[in-house]
Amino acid sequence: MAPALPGICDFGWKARDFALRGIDGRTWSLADVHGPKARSSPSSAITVPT
Amino acid sequence: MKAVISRLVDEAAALRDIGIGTIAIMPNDTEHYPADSFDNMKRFAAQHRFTFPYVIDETQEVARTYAAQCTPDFFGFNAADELQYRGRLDASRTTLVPGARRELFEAMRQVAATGRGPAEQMPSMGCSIKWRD
Repeated sequence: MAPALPGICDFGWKARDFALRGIDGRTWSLADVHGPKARSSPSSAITVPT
Repeated sequence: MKAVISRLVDEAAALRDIGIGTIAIMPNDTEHYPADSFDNMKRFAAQHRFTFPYVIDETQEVARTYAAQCTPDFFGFNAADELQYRGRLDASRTTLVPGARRELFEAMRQVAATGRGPAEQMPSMGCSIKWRD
């Protein structure tokens, strides 16, 4: 298990846009996942198991 | 990752219910780690009933830009796209801790209400990203 930047949140760091291919065939960008107030974005969130 | 996936799916649904979107990004090198292939991502998402977009970072550029370290690694942004949360899902790791505080959910609820995340955050733990080099 590897810790992710322990205890560090770079408050205010501006998210960069992206265009990534989804499993649904669509290309997703940052704007596509906006909720009305905020967004939870578990980047690099999922490791596919064997 | 397997240990937290059901909780992650549940929390993403709870966040959606309060107006917060979620996207999952798979950044691993699929050439040297074929278990993380695009086809396996599809199977994984179906098996765990993902209700949020699941995308592949084929060049790993996004993971590097965001300084992602492991899977899972959580990034919470406010409406101005400013980072406000870089903590963990909850206190559980490989096994569920009964009554564990919902740290991601609570933090993002605060972000939605105030635009700011909590000052104290515990880092996420997981498998290191499988980089190409």
